[in-house]
Amino acid sequence: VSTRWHDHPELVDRLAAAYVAGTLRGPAARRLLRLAERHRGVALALADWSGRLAPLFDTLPEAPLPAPRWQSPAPTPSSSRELGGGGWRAWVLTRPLAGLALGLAMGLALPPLWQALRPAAPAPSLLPESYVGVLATPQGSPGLIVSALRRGREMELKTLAPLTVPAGLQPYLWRIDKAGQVSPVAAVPGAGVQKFVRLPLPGEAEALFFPAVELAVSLEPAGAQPAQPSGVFVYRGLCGKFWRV
Amino acid sequence: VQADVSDLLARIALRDAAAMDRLYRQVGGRLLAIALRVLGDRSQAEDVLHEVMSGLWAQRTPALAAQPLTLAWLQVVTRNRAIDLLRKRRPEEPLSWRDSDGDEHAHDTASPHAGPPELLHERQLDANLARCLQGLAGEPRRALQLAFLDGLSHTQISARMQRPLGTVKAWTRRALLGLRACMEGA
Repeated sequence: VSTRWHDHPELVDRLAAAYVAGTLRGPAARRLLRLAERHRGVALALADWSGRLAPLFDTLPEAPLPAPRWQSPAPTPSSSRELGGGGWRAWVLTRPLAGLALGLAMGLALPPLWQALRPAAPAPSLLPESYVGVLATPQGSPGLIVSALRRGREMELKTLAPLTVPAGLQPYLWRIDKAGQVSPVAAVPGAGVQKFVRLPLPGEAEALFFPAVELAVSLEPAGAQPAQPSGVFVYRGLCGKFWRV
Repeated sequence: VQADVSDLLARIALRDAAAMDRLYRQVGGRLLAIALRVLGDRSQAEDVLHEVMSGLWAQRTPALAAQPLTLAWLQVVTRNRAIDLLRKRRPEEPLSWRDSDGDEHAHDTASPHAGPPELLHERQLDANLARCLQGLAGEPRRALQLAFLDGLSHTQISARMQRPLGTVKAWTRRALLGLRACMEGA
């Protein structure tokens, strides 16, 4: 018999019901939420109870919305870091720009750096034609570098900001085209966990990455072949094409 | 509406600012109503709405493993953020008080209008839930409503309803079990 309470469905269900009803408070509630991030049984129980009881919220008369806070003057770069300053709308609009700037800066800095750090052995003056994605974490810091030779059938992933991957899930790589359409690329086990992994691509890199303007990684059930991400992205950033023209 | 909101939530996960705007217009008033009901203070309720929306964009909304984000979960998160804020108030703050103009206020006054089951029927929102709520005894149903909609703890419900704490705990638990059995047996 398991001694872990979250292995007991009846207990999980009771706690999830109490949480959604609003009667589970304090450390117990926080523990349940932390477990829900990693354990599908706990997450499912909370989702079930939310769906069951949430219609009760619809009995409340809708409140008139306040004037949006984002109509306040645009925040300065320093104040935009504080959510309370310019409002979430300002933050929403500045965050992708910060990500874009980070991606561009790293995209420009990495090739010369790579050249500079390579051994003194004779080296070509230019990188081989490659796809390189520089992905940031949701907090905007460098997270993961994805690279593949243009005609290659493998990709390499270097973790800059490690992830905690819950049991039963694995990182999954997506491409995002210029229309914002998200398409699956492949599961990338080890990405975000191991410092460096080399993985086979399900096709030639040119076919997989040519439409991509961005790459992103979400956490999906292990073994699944999802058509769309089921949750939030844990990494996301620009995908560059390193060749002339 | 739910399908629409699910689509918007998926687009927000992809950093679609237009979807964020649309979601705010579409469900902001409902989320604000939830926070307002718990807090009884519009300014603080707006703070909660702002925090929930900011958290949604920053992907700080409490995650459920392998489950898509739903409006139902966002509503629960909003209610719980409001409860957290309520708990930060001075503990001696009464449940009802009179302001400087002499007007009476209360955090959890019973609605003079129809209760949730009747409102669910009226608005044709969820016939199954309404029917099952109707099937609960009056006091357990009231205790569940005070917890779920008004954000009151077991202790506060006990004080409000003048019933022993153990009785209130048993009521809410049995009400939840009864609701589920009724809704799943429908």
